[in-house]
Amino acid sequence: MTEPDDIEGIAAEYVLGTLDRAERAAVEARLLRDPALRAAIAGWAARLQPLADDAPGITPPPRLFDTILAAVAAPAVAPPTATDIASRPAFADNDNVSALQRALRRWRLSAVGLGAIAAALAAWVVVRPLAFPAQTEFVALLTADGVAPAFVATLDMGDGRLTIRRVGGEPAPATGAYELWAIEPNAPPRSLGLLQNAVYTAPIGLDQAGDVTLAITLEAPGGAPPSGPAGPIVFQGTLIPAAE
Amino acid sequence: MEAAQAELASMLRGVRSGDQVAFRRLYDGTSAKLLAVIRRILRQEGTAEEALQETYVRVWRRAGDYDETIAAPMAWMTTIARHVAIDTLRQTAERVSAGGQGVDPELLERLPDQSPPAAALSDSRRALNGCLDGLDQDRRDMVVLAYCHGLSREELAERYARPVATVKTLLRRSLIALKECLGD
Repeated sequence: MTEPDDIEGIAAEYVLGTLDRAERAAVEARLLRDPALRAAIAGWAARLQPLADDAPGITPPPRLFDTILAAVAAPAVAPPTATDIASRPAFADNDNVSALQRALRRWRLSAVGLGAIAAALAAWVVVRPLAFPAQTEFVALLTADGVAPAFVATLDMGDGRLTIRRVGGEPAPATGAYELWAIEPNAPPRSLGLLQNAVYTAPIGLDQAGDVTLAITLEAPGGAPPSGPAGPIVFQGTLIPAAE
Repeated sequence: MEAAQAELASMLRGVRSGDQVAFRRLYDGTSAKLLAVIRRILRQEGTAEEALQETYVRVWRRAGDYDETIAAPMAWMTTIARHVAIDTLRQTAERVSAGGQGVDPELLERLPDQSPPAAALSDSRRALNGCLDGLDQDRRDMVVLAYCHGLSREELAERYARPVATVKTLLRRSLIALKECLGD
């Protein structure tokens, strides 16, 4: 994996878009700790960029940016936008309701496929109605493909515990084990343990939950070596605030 | 880094610190280009617009990872946009049929017409064109089809009646040849 030519080939195909899903997940996991790979990818992105510059611009519809802003505007970063306020329901004095609706909008937007995930979320939100204590709860939907949720994780910063529940997808094969990782920016992945049951709970050991990605890798039955994840990422998702 | 790219880099620094005004300016300055890139991969308008939204959500979330010492802003954002579009395409193709979506037979015929007139080409595009034209026709087309239209190795294998492993080898060789031709 570390021969220079191999890095070039992997980086080139990463930029070209022809790696399969497992290969690309492996590249993205490795990126965090491999500056040479990051540099090789940047080189390929620049080299092939003229092919993208060819495409004559297409102006998107004017409302699109508001939707994007609604999806990214978390209260820690910025106050609610005019769109947020305007779209609050008449019973908006119930903070939990509007917070849920905003959270749901974010989830919907971050799912490129939409249909399956929206349905799954609607079901899940009904099961957990308005029970979020404000400001301390985060959720992540872990998917293999950005569409169908395989695991739902909830993090309560109040007690620092993460609970993760399998909601779809296959259990780990008998020949391996699912291992859960917390990935913070600019830090190596940190193991949160093996997922041996449909529901698993563990202390997450974080001071803050912003910008944290959860990933599940497929490892040997005993788990990954102490050096870090050895198997492919099979599911991943980012923690987002569940309530404001 | 040219002036336009330097300006985008400064907007990205703003985005990193949560500046929505900078984010808006970045969007205004780049969204038409990224939508065009996405539309070549996702021909359906609504799907392409969803992918564009997802692209900017990722740009916002990952702005902290952007390293302007190694990548121009547009190249970084184009990589994100193309990956979002390609993921969407592959998911759709998998839903439609496990055997993969048929490739538009006109795609290849249209390829030569996609370049702007030679006079309008940038130096870097001219250089890349020259090197692409130095490849065998099939190899050149494979690279362009993958980059511009998001074809997978499997789709290329089907189109060129070659084993998937051969396509992978051909792609990598072609890319390394391009790198050598471009002299870096």
